[in-house]
Amino acid sequence: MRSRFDEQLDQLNKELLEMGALIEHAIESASQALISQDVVSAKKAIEFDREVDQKEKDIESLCLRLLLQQQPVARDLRQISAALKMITDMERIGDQAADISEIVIYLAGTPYITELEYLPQMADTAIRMVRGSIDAYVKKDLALAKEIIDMDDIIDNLFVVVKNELIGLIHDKVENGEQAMDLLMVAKYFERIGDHAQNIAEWVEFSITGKHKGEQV
Amino acid sequence: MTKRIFRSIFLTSLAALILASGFIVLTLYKISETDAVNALKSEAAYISSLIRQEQTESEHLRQIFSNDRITLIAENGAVKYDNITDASTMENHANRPEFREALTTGTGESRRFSDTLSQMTIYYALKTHDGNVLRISRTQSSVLGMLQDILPILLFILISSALLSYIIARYMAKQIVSPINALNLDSPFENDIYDELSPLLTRIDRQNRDIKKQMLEITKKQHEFNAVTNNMREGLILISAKGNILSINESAGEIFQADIEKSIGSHILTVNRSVTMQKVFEGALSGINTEALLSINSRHFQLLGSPVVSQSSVLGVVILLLDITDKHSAERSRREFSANVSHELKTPLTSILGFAEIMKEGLAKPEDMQGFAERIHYEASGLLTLIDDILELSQLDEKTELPDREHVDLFSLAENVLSRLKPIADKKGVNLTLQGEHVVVSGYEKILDGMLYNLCDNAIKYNVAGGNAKVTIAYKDSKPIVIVSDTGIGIPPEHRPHIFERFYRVNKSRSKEIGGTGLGLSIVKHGAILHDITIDMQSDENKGTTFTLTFPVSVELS
Repeated sequence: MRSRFDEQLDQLNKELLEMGALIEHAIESASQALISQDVVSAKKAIEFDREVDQKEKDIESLCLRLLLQQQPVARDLRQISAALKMITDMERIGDQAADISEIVIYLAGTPYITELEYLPQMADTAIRMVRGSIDAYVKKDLALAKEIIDMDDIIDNLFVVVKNELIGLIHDKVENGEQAMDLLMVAKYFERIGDHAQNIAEWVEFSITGKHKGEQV
Repeated sequence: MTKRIFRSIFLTSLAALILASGFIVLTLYKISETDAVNALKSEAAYISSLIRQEQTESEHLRQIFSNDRITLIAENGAVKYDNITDASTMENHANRPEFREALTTGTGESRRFSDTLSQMTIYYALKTHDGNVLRISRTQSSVLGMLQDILPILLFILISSALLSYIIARYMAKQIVSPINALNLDSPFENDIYDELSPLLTRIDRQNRDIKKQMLEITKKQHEFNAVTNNMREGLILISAKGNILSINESAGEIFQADIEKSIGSHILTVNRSVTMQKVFEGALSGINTEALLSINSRHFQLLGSPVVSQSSVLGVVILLLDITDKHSAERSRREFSANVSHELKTPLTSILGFAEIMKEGLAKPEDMQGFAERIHYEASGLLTLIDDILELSQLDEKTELPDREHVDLFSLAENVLSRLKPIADKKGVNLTLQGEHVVVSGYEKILDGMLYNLCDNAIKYNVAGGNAKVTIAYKDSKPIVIVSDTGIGIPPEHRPHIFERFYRVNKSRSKEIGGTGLGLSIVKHGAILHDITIDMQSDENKGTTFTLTFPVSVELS
């Protein structure tokens, strides 16, 4: 009985990793699409998001089955409940990558109003945060999880910079407004991805220490 | 253990108890019965003698005080006297066995149980002198009655023996087991324990030796395997069908920047989460050899996934990682080179074709014909130079077809090169000088000539009117060196890393008027690689460039 439970926990771990890999690819494709106005990559990101949604359902049912059938306690319970929370954030990251891709497809025909400088930086930070949060889960690395949590400030600051830049562009030329709005949305999505990656890192911290945001749950 | 010991102790004591109490009760009963019968006999004899003397039966009998029941029965069985009940109310006793026995033999005896069987009455009858029968009876406990009496005591003993047996069983079990648990299994014969256990100890010892032997073999094999895999340059990962890493060698650990100890047993995705890896793994798991390219940190790897098949089921997957970065870049530069070559060949040919066409159609004026022919000649000779360069370069690529090394005097070589370049230098107004000593190295004269020619050609081409180009042949730290320096336009810093690339031109717009193929420094570089020469380049923009070729020391005068 016990060994079957361990097997199921391994399965959960594996599925989480697969989902993590999927969202990493989704966000990488989305940012690649954004930087080089590449519709093929954008469509790939949207395709990845579909797989992510399916994976979320699979993991969710696996978690619930584990909770009901095995009635886990202590560490196992923490791992499963953290997994349940993490997949919600992962699924949102996938959605946002798809949203960015849709904007990229919409903008594909028109050149950008400005040389993208900070958006690629945001994309890069977001990718690093997502990858780092999954790495932290994989390696059960508390220090890395903390690092990711702190990285959120970088992406928040970048968002403000991008916002100010876009405001300036609208000031210069009113026609810039439409695309500026779209780019602002993209920036916001990246900022949200950062938040979700931070959440994942926090749940990783919980699954290791039993403390969420420094509080006993 | 405790249970078993308890059961045997308890059953033994129970059996002992039953047997002992049974024997005691029976013996006691026998004694008391014999006592009773004897007492009855003597009492009967005494009373019957009394009756004979006195002649007065019932009156006299009434005065006898006895604990026993005394009955006088007439010959016909009617009761004449009884000391407990009124004789007249009693039934006829003619059928009683003791009575009938007494009538015939003189004495009679019988026993009768009460309704509950716990009591027994012993009757003794005696025929008196006048034909009546005197019967005396006594009631006492039967065997069963005796047992009933001692039953509470028996029960008490039973319960206490059960309790005692349990306590003793537990204690004994502990006593027996604790030295067994404390056995030193590594060296079984050093234990001081019951002789009964020595067969077990012998077996343990034999098994220990077997295990040790097998462990040694396994570790030896493991060491061999590790030695092989860890010295491989290729990464090797063994994965179970479930996706857990069974073995990962050092190269693979380095490629994925993973901790080898931690990786073993964890899922392959913990090491690398790329889609490529997943595809290769899943492909191999379905029984197909799978190949894919994976890029990590700007290095390129070829992933080869093969299934491990046993009895037509896939047990796991072997993934081999080959670093093909160099091959990859070589292939890319080859592709670029052929694209560049076609382009470079096409440009002069197009203009030659253009002029030739004009002449063929008769569109050119006769006075222009001379100029056209000159242009065609110029382009064609440029083409020839280019083809020569390409041939030279491809010869350098095909190192296998080289002749043997020969002794080359670098000073004479430089003299020769400079004399060939003199006309061009004069035309440009560049002053050529050669200094140094006769240094002999072993190498390929033709290639060294090409290298020196290209360097000096560049020193003239990228020079200013009235500038200097100087060649120095000397020893430095006992290594032969060739220095080609000029006072020309120099190379801007951002271009410096690329100047040895094929067809790379610093100033693309001016290259047409300067001439050259863009292959010169490539030829120098390849020649240098062939001769183990290190090239050092120093350049100041608008001041000049110095190339220093340093030969390996071993080449000198061999």
